[in-house]
Amino acid sequence: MARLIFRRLLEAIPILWIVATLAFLLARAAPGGPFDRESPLPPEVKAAVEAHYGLDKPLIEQYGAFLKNLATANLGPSYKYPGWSVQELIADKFPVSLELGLWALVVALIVGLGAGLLAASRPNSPRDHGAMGLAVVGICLPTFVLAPLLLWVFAIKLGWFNAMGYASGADIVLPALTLGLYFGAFIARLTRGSMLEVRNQDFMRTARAKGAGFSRAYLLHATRNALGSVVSYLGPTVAGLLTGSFVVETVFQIPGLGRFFVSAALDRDYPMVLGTVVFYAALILLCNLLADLALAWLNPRLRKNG
Amino acid sequence: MADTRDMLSAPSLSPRAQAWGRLRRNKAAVAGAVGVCVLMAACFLGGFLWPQDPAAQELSNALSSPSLSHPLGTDALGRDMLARVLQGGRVSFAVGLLGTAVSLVIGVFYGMFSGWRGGRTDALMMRLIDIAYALPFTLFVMLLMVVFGRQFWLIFVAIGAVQWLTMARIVRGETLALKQRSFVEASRVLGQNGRGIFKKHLLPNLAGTIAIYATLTVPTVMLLEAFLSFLGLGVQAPLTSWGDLIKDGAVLMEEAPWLLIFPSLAFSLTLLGLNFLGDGLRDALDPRRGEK
Amino acid sequence: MRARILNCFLFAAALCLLCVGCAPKETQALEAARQGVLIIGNGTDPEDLDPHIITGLPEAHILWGLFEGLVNLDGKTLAPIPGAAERWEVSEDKKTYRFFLNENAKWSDGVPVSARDFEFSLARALTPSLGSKYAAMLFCIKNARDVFSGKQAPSALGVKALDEHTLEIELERPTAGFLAILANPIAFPVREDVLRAHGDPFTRGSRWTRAGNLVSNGPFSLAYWSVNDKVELRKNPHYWDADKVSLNAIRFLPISDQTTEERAWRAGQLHLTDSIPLNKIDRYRDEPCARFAPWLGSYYYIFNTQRPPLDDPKVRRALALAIDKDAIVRVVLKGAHIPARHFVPEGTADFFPPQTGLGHDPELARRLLAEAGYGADKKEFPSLSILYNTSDMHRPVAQAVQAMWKKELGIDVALLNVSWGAYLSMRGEGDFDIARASWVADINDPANFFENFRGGNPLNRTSWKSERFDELLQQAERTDDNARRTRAFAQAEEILDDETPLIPIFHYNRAYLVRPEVKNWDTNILDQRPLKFVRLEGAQE
Repeated sequence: MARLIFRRLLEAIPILWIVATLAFLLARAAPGGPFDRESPLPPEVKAAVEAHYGLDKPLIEQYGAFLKNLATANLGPSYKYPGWSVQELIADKFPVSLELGLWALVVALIVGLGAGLLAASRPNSPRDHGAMGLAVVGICLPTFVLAPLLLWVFAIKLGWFNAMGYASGADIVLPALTLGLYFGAFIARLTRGSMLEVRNQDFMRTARAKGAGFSRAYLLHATRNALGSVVSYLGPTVAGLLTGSFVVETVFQIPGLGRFFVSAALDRDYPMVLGTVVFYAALILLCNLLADLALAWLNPRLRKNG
Repeated sequence: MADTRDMLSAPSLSPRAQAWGRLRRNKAAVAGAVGVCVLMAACFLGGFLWPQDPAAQELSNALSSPSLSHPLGTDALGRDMLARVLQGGRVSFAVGLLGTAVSLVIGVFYGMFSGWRGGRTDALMMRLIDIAYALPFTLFVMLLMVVFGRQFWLIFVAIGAVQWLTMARIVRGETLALKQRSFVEASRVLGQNGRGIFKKHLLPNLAGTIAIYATLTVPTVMLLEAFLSFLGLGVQAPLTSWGDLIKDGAVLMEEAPWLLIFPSLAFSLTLLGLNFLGDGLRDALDPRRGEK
Repeated sequence: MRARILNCFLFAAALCLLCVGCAPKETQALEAARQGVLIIGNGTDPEDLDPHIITGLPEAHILWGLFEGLVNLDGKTLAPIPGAAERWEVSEDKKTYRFFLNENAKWSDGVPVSARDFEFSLARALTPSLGSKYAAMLFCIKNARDVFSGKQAPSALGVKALDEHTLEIELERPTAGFLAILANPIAFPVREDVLRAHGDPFTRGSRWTRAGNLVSNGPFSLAYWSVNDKVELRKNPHYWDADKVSLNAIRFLPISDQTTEERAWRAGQLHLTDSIPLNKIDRYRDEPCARFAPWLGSYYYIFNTQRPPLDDPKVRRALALAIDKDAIVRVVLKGAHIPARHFVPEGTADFFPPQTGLGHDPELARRLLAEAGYGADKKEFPSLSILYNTSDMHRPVAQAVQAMWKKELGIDVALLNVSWGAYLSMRGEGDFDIARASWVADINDPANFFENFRGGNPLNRTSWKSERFDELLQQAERTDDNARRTRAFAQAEEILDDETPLIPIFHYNRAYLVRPEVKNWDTNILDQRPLKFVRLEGAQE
């Protein structure tokens, strides 16, 4: 187990390097530059600003400087917010997204596993169809519909919550529900599918034959084994949840990291693009590692070959 | 050894015919399949049944509620919503099904190969997925648009190219688990070659997960397309899609609820149908199901 | 059994969630009003608070509270009133201004504001390495253009501190709107020692604008700034006119999504919004809280006049005349703006364009198109596209225009919706047929609009060029006689109408919401918002 972790951490370095390089090339290949505006800067001014950020140097030199900075964990200044550095902004915004993401994850797991197990406990019954029907509604109510709906009911009509902002504890409820229900619907579907798959396998029959009560066998053995595909799904999903969502942060006006992923690319804020991509990549690697560890724990036979 | 026993107990029909029979007996799945087919037919043949131009504007008749001449009302530019929902359906079905197909083909084979080979190959292939995951989708699409111009098929490619990653991870996880199972190990010991095991054991056992995931991918793809429209990278107006209509309707849900309700209804019914069909397929394709 | 437990658990969880918000509460706006805190929805996120670097209105709205130039503008009339300078003298030839600073004027850390601060700041604003977008506004100052392009040393600039409290500014030539320019952020003072404490004052990327570092001379000082979150200003006790400042604090919330802002308004979280979403205009039209203030801005389509058939003025005119702008404004824009027949909005610095202009005349449009050789039995019209960036407004307008051309002229044009960055780059490189554009004036002067079509100006992306037009602009620039200027502008507008390098579609109104507690909230055509005198009713002293 320790060897697995060590190896994956070691592997992370070349992966991050490749991701950073690809992102660097992608960002530079996109049309337009960071200092294009509705009314263009006079050419000499634009040249001066670009020279200040070293954008006048050959690309390979810029790449070298970027890698050197990256190695020292310096992500550079944001072009869009000249008074802030990229790591400052990430450090400032990530905790917000993290908190929101964790709550959303809790909602997603409760709703997803709950509905999935419920549906799988009696397949093709009204209970199954009801739970799964709700899950489908959850999937086809995308966040940009669900969020305004929740806001309309709970903030405008009932006045229980603020319509935007992230100042008090109650402000987290609606965004966490919005994000969580969406992913919960996916988890519900996956859980039900895997549960049904596992139900009919040898060891389940063995467990039942050995006299374990249905519900005990069901919960202990089946759940543990059925969680595999859910956990695989969760790896990258959690990374996405924790780094925030563009739509949810925009609709609820939450100062999280999610908006930077889209806006940095749209604004051609190169250091911000690279900073968020590298950060996200590192987080994904971490989450996938955790997912794999969880998979190994769930399925002991994988452990020895891991 | 349960596997061989099942096969022996049903000697007269091929596994495929058995699966087909099971699917047909599943009422929810049949209803779902019929529903999706009807919706699809309506969208693709709708132009003949309801010959209104979805782009024709009647500015004097904007945002009118459903009536005889406009059964689903009109939008902010006075365009007939029924015609637009039908036209949006064509785009959404095309994007959803083709995008899913692209992601499925790549994802299933990539994941299966990775899981089956295991070891170094597996590790390498999974790290490649990690890399692809971390790349910014927005930039990727923008670049595609720049390099190839704005073409409709690019949306499938862009979406398929992102969606296969999750599919591959899931299939790989399942393959790893299957590999350890007794019947696969037995086949290996008996000297069956890789392709045979692929065909005989892996694919049928994975079919359930794939079917479910495919029905999950279709809505994701349709929604991704809407998100692209949101960023100005999706289908070009006045062409529209369900995701696009829903996005526009969400803004007007108080003033003109029909703009949100009808496209959402069409979208939800499609997904509900796909969902039951997916479940039915999963149950039907499960080789150990017969004895329940 | 288990399922039932699960059900109970879920129900309990839902109940808990609901109870959190149950307690009845005072709305945030009322609570804040009691504390003398004004909450403003401020549009897109401010990128910086450095007066010489900022590029947009959201930043300017904040800076008008933080800083004060030599003069202020009256909130209603935009007439210059005393700011950091309590009075000024103008020489006979109108080329030399002498400003006498208010001796009580102090920075937010208590240090007196000196004439040297202004000398330093104006020179800094014109430093090439800083790359200030608005530097060109100061080009009326002697040698400013050369200092900005690096041809002359900063010391050559016509700005001199004669003593601690007297500042002399020399101009290139008499300039009518010079005092108004001084009320803009580009002419705001910054303090050299504060800037130096945080790095090189003449480059970007300094941390001096952060809360705690920033020192300002206006009625308010910076208390908090977090990107995408909020900017909070607090009353500046050292301000020379602090007695007249009633607000204790101002909270600027960067709400980029209009729908979100409108919901926040309804939930009682804002005193002022930045806008009203188009599809909510009807709901607020007759409410007393809604303001529709004319704004010095135009929305128009430009032609790439190098691409046939758009090189033919008849084709351009035909396309312009086929558009029913009244219908677009009435239906698509819910009457929130003003249909345009001209480029420059009426009333810009008392300039009223000729009454002709480009109206709606499909009959003439068809005839012009036929004369140009296109029509049913003639040449087929080449396929063109309209370029626009993603926005809730641009899309329906473009679709309406597309349908009108189809209906009136039988022409098919495609729509090309791209992201902001791609839009700027395509438009900048001339990679378009027809593109959406808009211009909002920084100063109340028609010349500010016409510059967009001067030959060779990088702002002019149409490739259209008229010697007569350029000559008229120059005439207007050379004189400070208002009647002659107006005549020249009227002729320039006629040339634009005849040659049609652009289709004016509408002039902007600034539509937003103001709560009744907010008093002394003045509106003007530049959307300058003096915050100094704003008062909140019900505030506890």
